[in-house]
Amino acid sequence: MTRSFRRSLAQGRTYLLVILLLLFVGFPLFWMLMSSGKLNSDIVRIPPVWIPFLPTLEHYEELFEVTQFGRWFLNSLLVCSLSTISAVTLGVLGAYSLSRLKVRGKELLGRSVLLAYMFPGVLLVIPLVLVFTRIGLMNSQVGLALAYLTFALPFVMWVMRDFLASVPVDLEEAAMIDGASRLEALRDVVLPQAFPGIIATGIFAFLFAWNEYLFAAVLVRSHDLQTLPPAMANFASAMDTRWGLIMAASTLATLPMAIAFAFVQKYLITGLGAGGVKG
Amino acid sequence: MARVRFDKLRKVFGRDVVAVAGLDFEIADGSFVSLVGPSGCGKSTALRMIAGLEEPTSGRLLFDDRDVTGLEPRDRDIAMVFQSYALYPHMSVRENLEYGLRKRRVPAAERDQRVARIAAMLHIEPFLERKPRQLSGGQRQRVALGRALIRDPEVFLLDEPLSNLDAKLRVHMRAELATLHARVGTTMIYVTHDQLEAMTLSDRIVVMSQGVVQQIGPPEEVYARPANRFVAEFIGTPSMNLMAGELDEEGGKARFRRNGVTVPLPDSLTAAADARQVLLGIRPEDIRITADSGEATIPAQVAVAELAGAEKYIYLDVAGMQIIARTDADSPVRGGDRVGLHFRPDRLHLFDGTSDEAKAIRAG
Amino acid sequence: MTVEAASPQETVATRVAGIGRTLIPDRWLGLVLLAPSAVVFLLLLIYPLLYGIWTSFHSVDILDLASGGGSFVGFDNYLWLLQNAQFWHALKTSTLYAGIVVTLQIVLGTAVALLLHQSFKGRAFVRGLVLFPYMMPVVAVILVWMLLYNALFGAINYILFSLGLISRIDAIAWLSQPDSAFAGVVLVSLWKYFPFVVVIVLARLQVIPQDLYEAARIDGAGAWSRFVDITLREIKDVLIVIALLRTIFMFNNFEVVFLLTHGGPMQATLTLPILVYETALDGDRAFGRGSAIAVVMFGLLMMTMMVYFRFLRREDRQ
Repeated sequence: MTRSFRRSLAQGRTYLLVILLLLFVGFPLFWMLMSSGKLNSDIVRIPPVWIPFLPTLEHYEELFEVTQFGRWFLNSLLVCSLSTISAVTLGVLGAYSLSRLKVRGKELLGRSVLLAYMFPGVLLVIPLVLVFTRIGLMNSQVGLALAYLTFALPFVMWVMRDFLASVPVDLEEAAMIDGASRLEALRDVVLPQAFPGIIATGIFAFLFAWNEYLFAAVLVRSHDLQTLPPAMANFASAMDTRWGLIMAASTLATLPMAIAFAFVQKYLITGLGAGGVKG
Repeated sequence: MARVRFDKLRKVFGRDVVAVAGLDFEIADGSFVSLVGPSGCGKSTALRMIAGLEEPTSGRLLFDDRDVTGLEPRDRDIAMVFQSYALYPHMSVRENLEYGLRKRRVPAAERDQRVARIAAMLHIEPFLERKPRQLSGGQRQRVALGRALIRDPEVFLLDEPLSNLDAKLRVHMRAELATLHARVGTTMIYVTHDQLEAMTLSDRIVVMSQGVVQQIGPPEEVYARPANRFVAEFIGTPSMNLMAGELDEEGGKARFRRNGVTVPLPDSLTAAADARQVLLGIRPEDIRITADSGEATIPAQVAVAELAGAEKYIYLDVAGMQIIARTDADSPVRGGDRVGLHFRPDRLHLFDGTSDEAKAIRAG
Repeated sequence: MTVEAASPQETVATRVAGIGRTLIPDRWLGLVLLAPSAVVFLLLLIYPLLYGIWTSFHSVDILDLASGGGSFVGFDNYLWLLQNAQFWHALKTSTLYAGIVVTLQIVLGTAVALLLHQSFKGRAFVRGLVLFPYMMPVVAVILVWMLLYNALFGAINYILFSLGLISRIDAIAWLSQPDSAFAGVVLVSLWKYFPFVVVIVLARLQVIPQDLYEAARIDGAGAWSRFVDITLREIKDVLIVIALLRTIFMFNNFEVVFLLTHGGPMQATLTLPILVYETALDGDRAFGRGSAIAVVMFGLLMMTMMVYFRFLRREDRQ
């Protein structure tokens, strides 16, 4: 009796704490979504309108009519895809080399990869501006994608090294005995095994690029070429009373991440835990 | 099919970890040879060097007269069955079997034909479209064998292929392997730590320890005439009984002495016996136990009698040393009995010294 | 060959087809596969890093941009730095900000990880939701919180008012006053980044062998001593690593602070990354001076990493 009572007390406490946690984490998200569907007059109302009675889509429509949101979104998509695809291609090959092949100074290289991944953007941004200006990569989406490689590539290498190391060596050796070359064994046997991990790693690399602000703001200044984060920050400060519009933009910018999230959640520990030291 | 020749083949890992200290022997075309020894003895490294997965530090490897030392695995025309089976998890059984053929650009029609033949031979037709994870351990084992057989290689390598099976299945697959070898006749090189597997399957056994070959020979010979102490103890279960003692002579006849116990040696050993410190060896089945401790017997006390189904292991105390005898299951001997032992004189082994490498002493 | 053998001609044919030349021998392959990544590192990390150090000894302004030149000034930029009150202020602010945020993150993150390690209905959903802030674009996060912080119609003020903590007239202009702005920045940083700690600690909690707890329970340990003697001891190393790496990260974090307050009001949230930005990328465009600050920050980073690698080595040895 007392034992079961104590247990249900503990259960009750757990649920109470979970509710508090949900409020803390969830309220800003809830508020963003709700505000994007409220009339402007309801956004500034006190006491607040918690849930709009008749949600409106006018902010979303306006976003595409008044601002260049669609264009920025596509720019982001382009830059992030470019950097992610290059990072995954180069990174997987490099990681394979680090995890399997005999390379002198492999340990040092592995450590440098971690260091590179740790490297804060703010320490790189000045020289990147100087170098990019000189070679004409300023204000270029390719330049921005290259800048994103500075964190995407070490990230992919660091995470994929562990992923690839977990594929049994026997499989590759069996393939090589079956007549495959080392690279064919990689393609036919190792990559199919590591494929889910590669996809997850790619999605993370994509999201990190998607969310990045500093490089995007500094390296690409022109309105038409800008990606979402700086463009949103700019128009939010230009129209800082149009909260419905701003919240609609925030909601849409969060969307790709929400979708991707559903796919990668089970890899989160590996993606962030094993290699994740930044972000 | 090919003859495999090791020419002073040596493998050193890092700076000074000697895995294989120099193999120098030949495996006859079409034979079944086992490399056997405790883990870390270098047998797997030797096999991996034949496969081309490990580069030898020095020496040469020849298939017939072709030097394959520097060749990639795929250029050697070998097949290998891994301990883990190493089936490609994302491919169906059929695709697993076909992979090597595809890599060698065998036309589709012939591939189908070969898959059908191998599947029939190994009784895996019902599973051809399944993925490896949907198979039982024994079925995976067959697929692994099939993947190697289908290639029709010159040399067939097996790395502890039965060690992941349960005891019953292992005995069954052992028999199948023997049949298989009889049918295909390819040179097979088999690595195992299980001396019983090696004994039952092989034409010849290569016993290795610490990177060095201890003895090469047919199973019967390795069992009956172990070349040194290591082989004597490693081959056979329970192990050969070894007793340290001295040699002396009485009336022109050599004797073994230990703590007042003497064992007369047969003439075949007498001639060669001049070492002082020796080991006397006798296998458990070569000891006869008699109830009376008469003149010609060695007095002993029974510690425990252990029934193991068809036979009994008798643990005996002889001059302060424990030895094991094997008897019929209906032997009346019990713990505490005082008995007399009779060693079969023609089955006595004598080793020169007491180290692992102590050589067997044989008559001229 | 007997039953299975292909005819001799076939065998020969397939063998010849099978013997392809290996384009790149294995011993070189490792280097070949690493080479592209190495080139990227060299051009986009190492070279800029060295170039940044070079810049810190030069006076480089906007006119030098196209030429890539600049005049050598020795240690002038560093001397300017040492004499600049703003630098010392920013160093202090950064340290304070990183220290407070990391401490709070670890405490909250560990607590939440422990909570999410319990079993309750809907746990998978809650675990997913908790990670949301971490994966959200930082700009979106900032914009939402700016709305929440709004002095006139922000939800935070309204909630405080409803709870009776403030009166309606005292509505706080969160981001416009030094103290509350700092607190506001800390809160947003906590909200956005604590999930990282949750993920890592939760992963560690899941590999603590359950029988440790059972053994302790049989030995008569209560809930609290089980927590201290088992849980805390097991996750200690992971917490140390998190503390080190998160400190590096928060110390160098530009985005949250910049987007929320631009370092203001009255420099209350002026951290080193923002000082770098303001010195070199905004207004003055003094690239040399900005680089000098960055080099100092790099030095601090390397010192922390050294501690980290030493810690890793010690762990490896155990």
